[in-house]
Amino acid sequence: MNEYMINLDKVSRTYKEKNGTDFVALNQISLNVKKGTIHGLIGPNGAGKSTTMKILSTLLLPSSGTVTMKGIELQSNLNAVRQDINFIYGGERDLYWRLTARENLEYFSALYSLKGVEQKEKIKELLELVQLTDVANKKVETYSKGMKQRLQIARGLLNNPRILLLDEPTIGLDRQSAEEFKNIIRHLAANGTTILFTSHYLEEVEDLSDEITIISRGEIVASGTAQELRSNIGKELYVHAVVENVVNRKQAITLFSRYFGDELSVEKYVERTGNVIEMKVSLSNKKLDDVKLSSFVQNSKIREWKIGSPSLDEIYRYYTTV
Amino acid sequence: MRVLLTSLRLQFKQSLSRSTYRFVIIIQPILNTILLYFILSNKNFVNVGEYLFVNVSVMNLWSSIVFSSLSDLTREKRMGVLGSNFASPVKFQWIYGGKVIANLILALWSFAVSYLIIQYVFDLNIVLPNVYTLITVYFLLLISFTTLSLFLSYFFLLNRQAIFWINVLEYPIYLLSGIATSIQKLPWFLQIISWLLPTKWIVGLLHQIFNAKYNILTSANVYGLLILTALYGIGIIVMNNIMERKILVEGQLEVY
Repeated sequence: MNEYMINLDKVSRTYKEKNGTDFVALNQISLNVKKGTIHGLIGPNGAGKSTTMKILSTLLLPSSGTVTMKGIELQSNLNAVRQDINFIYGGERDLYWRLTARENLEYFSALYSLKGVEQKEKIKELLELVQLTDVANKKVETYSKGMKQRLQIARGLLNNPRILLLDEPTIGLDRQSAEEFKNIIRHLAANGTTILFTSHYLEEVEDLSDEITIISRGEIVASGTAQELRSNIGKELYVHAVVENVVNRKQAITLFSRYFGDELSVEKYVERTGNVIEMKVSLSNKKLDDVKLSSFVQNSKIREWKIGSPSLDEIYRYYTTV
Repeated sequence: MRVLLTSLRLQFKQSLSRSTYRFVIIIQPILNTILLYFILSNKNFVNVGEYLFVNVSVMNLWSSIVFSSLSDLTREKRMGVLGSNFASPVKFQWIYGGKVIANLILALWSFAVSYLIIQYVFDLNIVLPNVYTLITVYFLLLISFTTLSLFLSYFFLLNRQAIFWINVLEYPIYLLSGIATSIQKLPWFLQIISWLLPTKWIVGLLHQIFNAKYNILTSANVYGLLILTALYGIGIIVMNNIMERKILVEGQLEVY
């Protein structure tokens, strides 16, 4: 049995632009998401995240390649897939604002063939899960952003989806609401739901995801656990040092280059008093040579130094900065 | 069928909560009745009250289609729910069919408004046909307008200028359906277009029943309406397949 609930194999998607040229939104991407895991998809605006989510939500067909969800080939079995997936988008969408939360859930549950006692029980359970029971009979237009987002979550869970797609689900939520949301997501994954989500909040992605995929300009540039992504780059990516007897930026760069080569970029440069500078450089070398490192520490007049493990933000910038 | 009924119930609540729709079923019938009264008042009809009632009722129904059912599509696109509906396991025509039928049922209210204005403000007598005939014809009208509205909805689904076209569509139909003037006065090519509109046959049929000249077996209007309804029905099936593919290929439901 296939252990992957979502499988994209060399999927491409092109759009026709107004001037007749083709815009490649996705270029031969391959991605696997294991059952019951949370997979974060990150990338800059226009990278292809939303196109990927649209394809998986059955709102868009790929131009080429194969998409398989829960073992079923998507392109020719849309309805079979639709019964078992659902999606939640950030930004107060996908709800009828002039209806109450309960009416919204009654309507959307009917689309997934829920009826009678089963429907009532499900709605009750979800309203409790998202803590909207007390306001279930109020119109959605009177809700705060966080309440609308919580209702969206309830809507997205009506059909007990085996695959849940979340596109920037915490956008605009305050910290507490975002935390509550993350707890719900963890609870779902623990109960076997496979979750693929996009977000611009990298801290949140790292916090939630079992695996992370970085997409840039329609291509997947890195994929794996946060730890794997770090070790791919090399944990000694950043050297942060306070160095004595260096009078200017140029001299500082020369000092660093002597040990780490020319391919470094200055992340931080601060002149302290008394010919002391604090400098943080990122290195394009994937692995830092231990010999060079010890030579640097011994021969330079270093007051403090630290070799940094890159944060997800740094990994993200490493892969997505041209 | 259950989805259609749920969608219908939802639409009742949604439409009545919107001030635009309340305008369409209460204020607009008053304005339409007054407008049509002055257009028709210098004509020598024996039964001007009934004539006015029939024409203004169809006018109101058409307004209900263009300003409610078709506008709902663009509204839902903006709200993002169109994507959720489309990506659900249920066929689009069941969901949208419920909305159209709900709006057409609610539009009955506009009949009542027009009736009261004609009867009591303009003091024109309207003799209603027997209730069974009225119900039969209204049922026919409901099916026919629903198929027309669903058929049109496919053209608006991906059209970025839907609101423009919704406005453009309103008045020409009044002319082409014989509401504001006799179809015989129109150029021949416009008369041919009018044959393709259920509104033309509905207006004819309603005039027949109000004149007690109605016989379901011999009425050309009934046959015209049934043939057109069947054609639009086939059109819905064809368009559904075409548009579903087009949406999936072009991806313009603007969910994001």
